[in-house]
Amino acid sequence: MDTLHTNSMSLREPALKSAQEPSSNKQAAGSVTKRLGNELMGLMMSSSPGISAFPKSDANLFDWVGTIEGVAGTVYEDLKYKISIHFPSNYPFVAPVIRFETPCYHPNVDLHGNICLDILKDKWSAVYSVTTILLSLQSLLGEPNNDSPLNTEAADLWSNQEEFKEQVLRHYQPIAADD
Amino acid sequence: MQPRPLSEPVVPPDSPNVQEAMQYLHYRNMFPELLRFRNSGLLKCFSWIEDEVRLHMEQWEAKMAVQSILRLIQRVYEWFQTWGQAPAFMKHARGEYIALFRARWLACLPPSFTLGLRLFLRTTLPSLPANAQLFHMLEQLGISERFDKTFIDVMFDEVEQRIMDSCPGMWREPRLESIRTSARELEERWLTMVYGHMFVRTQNNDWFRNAMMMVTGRLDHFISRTLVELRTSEIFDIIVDFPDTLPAIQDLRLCMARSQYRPDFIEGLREVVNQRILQPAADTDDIITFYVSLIRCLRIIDSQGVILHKVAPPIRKYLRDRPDAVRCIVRRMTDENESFMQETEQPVPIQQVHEPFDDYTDPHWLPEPVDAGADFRTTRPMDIVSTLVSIYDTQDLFIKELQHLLAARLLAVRNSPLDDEIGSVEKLKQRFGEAPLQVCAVMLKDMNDSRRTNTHLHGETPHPLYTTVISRLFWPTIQPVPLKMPGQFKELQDTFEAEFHKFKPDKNLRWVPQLGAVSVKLDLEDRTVEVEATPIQAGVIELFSEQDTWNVEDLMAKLGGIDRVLVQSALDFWIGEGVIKDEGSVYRLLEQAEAPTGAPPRPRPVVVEEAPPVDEKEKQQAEQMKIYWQFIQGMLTNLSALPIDRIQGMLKFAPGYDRSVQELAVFLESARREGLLVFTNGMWKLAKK
Repeated sequence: MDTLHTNSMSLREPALKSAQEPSSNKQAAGSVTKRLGNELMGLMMSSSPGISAFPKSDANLFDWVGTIEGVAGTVYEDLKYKISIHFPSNYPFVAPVIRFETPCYHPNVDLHGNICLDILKDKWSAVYSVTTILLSLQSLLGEPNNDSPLNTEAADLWSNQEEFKEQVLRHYQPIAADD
Repeated sequence: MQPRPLSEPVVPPDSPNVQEAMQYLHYRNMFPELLRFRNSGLLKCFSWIEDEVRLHMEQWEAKMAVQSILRLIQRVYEWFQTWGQAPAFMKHARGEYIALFRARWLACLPPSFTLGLRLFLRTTLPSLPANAQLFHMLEQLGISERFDKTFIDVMFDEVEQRIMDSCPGMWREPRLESIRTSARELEERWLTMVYGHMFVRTQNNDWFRNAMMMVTGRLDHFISRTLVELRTSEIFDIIVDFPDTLPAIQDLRLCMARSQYRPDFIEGLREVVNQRILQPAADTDDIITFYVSLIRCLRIIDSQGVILHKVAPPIRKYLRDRPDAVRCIVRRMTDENESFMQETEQPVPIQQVHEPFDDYTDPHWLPEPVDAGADFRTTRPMDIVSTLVSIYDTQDLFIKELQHLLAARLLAVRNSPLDDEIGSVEKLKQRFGEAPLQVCAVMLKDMNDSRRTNTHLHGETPHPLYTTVISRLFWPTIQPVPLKMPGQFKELQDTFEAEFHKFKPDKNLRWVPQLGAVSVKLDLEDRTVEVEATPIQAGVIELFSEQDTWNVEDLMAKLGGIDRVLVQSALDFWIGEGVIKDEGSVYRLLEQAEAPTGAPPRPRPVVVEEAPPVDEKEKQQAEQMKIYWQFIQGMLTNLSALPIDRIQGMLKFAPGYDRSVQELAVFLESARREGLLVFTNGMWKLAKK
């Protein structure tokens, strides 16, 4: 009898815990959603040229699609890059996960689209927002950090802008639906 | 023994021969026989009384004179007395006689007698003590018993009459108490008079007192009901004249303590509101005044607010649909003299108004009244401002309107201190909170800064140009008119602009030249004219100092291509001042005043007051649509092509989006026509640049 009793206790306890967790999660999700909503509003109103982002669907505010245009005067001029932005549930205390969906030949972007940008890693702070991240990425395109490259070949080639541009265009795939 | 007609002489029952006869009968033990004989005779002869009744009642029905009723009663009483005379030994059979007589004679009364009696009795009221004999008759004839309801009705009639005499239109003094007193006094006199004999006879005073109490209770109800009915019919004027009508409202409160009159009262109130208030012809300001008074009155009548809860929603809904309601409310809120702004209650911060409220520590807590609706919630005690503001779901509208109002006021103020404006903004901060009124604070600061800038640039000496520099983002959008001030005005403007740039190099200065005022002094050959004019008017007359004649087109061009209407109205202004003359195609400056011609001087044209620089609703909507357009652009940039329902769904991310799909479709279609969007295969996408 005794063992059965303790068994049932130990069975119940985790069940109780799991019942509590979603509610606190839900609350947190509420405040994150609010923050993301505000950031979206801020981004829509900022009208900075060449950067944009929007949630993928109206059901989920945590997955966004972004578009970055290369700045005039750089090798990325007139090129449009799609990126995906995923916000963790404890955003803004943890940086969003961002990757290039359009192949991007760039010293700080690897072949899978992963990005090496300090503010997305150890320099992340809760005061950054989607808008600031997008602006940073846009400027990163024109001013790569060649000291910590993910794509060493590109980093080496950076000094030769003409050849670099050729590589950029070879890797570049225009956004499909834009045709 | 047999009844005879009244006209025949009566044989006295105690006369010797009658006595003798009776003795004989007594001896023979024939009383039952005798009694039967007498009763059958009575029944046989009762047709005489029936004739009598018919005669008098016909008179009554023909002339409606209560005298007929009195005569009838007197007459029947005479019969009753005469036939009732009986030998002494038959006294114990008198009860039977009375019962029989009453039953017969009451049976032959027609229905119209009730009304006749009621009216007749009314006439006896003024001189009750003198009518003691009459009430004795009524009691004897069984009328008091049979028509007891009528007797009570008489009293009610009288009370009603007194209410109707003394109450209608008398709202400035309490009436209820005096009516109650007079009714009680009347009741006492009346009941004692009517039923006094009966109770003295039955010697049962407890019963009498109980009956009295029941009647008193009913009378009290009756007074309350009558007064509530009367006041309900007058309620509109009472509310409009509040607080002068406070006594009437207090009376109502006392009457309404019994809740059974509340449904009728509420119904009446709603009807009045529908008929008098919720009409297109009613001025919004009046509606608000009425609503405010209504709140105050109902607070007194029903402190829990159930009645208000039932009456107010239509008014609130109606006000919500009135485009100028917000403006009226805001104007009142900033009006120093507005009574409800001076209420001493602690202002309730408005954010809390919509929350349900239950104060469990309140020692005066009462349960919800029975007639409270299902959706009735005890609301936080609200002052009037909060109630008005809570008509709308958001307070943004008020802040916007306040901003506009403040803008209009500040731009009209000339150099006088802004204490009033600052005061009212501070007061409103207590309600709306600091943050929403930030905008207004900035506007006030702009005014002060402008003052400082002017002092800085011109020194303490008065300068011909006084400028108000406003921060574009914090003021309502003001559309500048492309007015170019000519001549000396332009010089002043240019000097100021140059100095301003030196003073504040990081700021851009954009003129809103049509606002403001100019004190103009015209030195003409024979006279000087001094007027206050608008910049456009001043500009026009300045141009006349260059040459004496102008036509409208040239003036328009010289002033920077402003609208013809504006120039025309400025010219009309000067014509009205007698400075310019309309000579058909050209206007001429009158250096010498023209003697008034035979025709009366042209009436000074009505200068169309320009509305304060307020955005129209459509403009606001367009502004909002601009925000939505940003969102649509954002989603189409990143998600390439979307069907309309996805766009509609995604727009929920835009704050305050409330358009229907149809409205969105119209909007998208207009964007397509402008070449901003492309529509293919049921999908919308951005047009390629």
